[in-house]
Amino acid sequence: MKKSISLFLMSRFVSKIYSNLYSKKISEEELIKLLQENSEEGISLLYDNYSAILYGIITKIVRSENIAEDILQDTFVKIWKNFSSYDSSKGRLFTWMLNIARNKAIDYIRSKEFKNRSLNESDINNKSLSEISSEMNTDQIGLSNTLKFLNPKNKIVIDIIYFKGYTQVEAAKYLNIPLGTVKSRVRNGLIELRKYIK
Amino acid sequence: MNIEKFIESGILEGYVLNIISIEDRATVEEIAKKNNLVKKEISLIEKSLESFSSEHKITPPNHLKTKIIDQIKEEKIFSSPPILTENSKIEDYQLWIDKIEPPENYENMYMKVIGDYKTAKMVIAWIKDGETNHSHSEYTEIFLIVEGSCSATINGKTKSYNVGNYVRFPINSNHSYKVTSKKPMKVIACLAFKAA
Repeated sequence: MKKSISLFLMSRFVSKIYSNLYSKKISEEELIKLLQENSEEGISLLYDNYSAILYGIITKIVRSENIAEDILQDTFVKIWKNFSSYDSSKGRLFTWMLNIARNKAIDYIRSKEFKNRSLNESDINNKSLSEISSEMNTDQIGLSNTLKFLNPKNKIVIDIIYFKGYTQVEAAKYLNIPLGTVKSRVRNGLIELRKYIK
Repeated sequence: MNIEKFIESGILEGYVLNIISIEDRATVEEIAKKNNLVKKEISLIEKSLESFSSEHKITPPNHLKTKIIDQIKEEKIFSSPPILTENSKIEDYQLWIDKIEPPENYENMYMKVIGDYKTAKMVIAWIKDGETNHSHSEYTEIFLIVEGSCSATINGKTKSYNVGNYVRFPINSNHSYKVTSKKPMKVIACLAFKAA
């Protein structure tokens, strides 16, 4: 009995070392350098560090894990192919990658394929505002505290721009508020989030 | 311009979220270059967006990583075909031969660059008729015939070429060729530049 416990502890210890070795946190600068050298280690580390966050966002936009897998794949291939066009003086690597992923996912939800699919399910584009807000509230249940602190008025604007691909003008029309209010709510929401920057 | 008002306007959030026009993006980039306050603000917005995004993490299924890395490896090979030499075989270019199709309609020739190096350019081409007499002073042109056949005249000497043959048009040579097969001649071609 004792032996099996110590074995168990030891295997946990070993696997912890292993995972520290292989999913090590790497700084953006180091990663960028590896990717500029076109190294396979670079793409592998990029995947380890960013796949979960990008996959989460894509899944939330397309609402299907199967499709999110394809889009994540396209996203990484595009990141790899277009890496020479990333300019670190203009912004963070994460922002650049996120926008590639979001564009691909939003292109998909605007495509025929998605519209055909959602006709069979519920038509997300025709949902009423109250349906969307209640949906977003349910989404909140699983979320950590950070997002619960967001003012709901700010959060819904960020959500429909970020996850539904609305432009600011579309968001204003949709929520029936002035464009200026949309802009300031996006800004205020992101300012609220500053407290939680890690 | 009042920088505080510019920051307050929400344009920087739009910039980071990539939902503003290309003209506005250019304006923001121009101002950020000169103004540290704007630069700092953008960086803060980016970080808050990253922490917002990380609240939605989902670990993708395990098999996906291998699948993605394999595809990237394949793309990597695809973007760098070997340079054609006299020892190259058709099989060396199977990947490109299988993957690239000409459009339905084209005039005499359809060409697609498959590799672009300092010393050489690699091309896959389909030719229906041929080319009249000409010469080039920057590169030697080599064909590896994949389909069809032709008769080529180089500096006055004419010879026939078939699948698997090389046709070498040296730098500055006067040359022409005529496709002799019914279907277009398909070649892997290399333009080898004069060493600088």
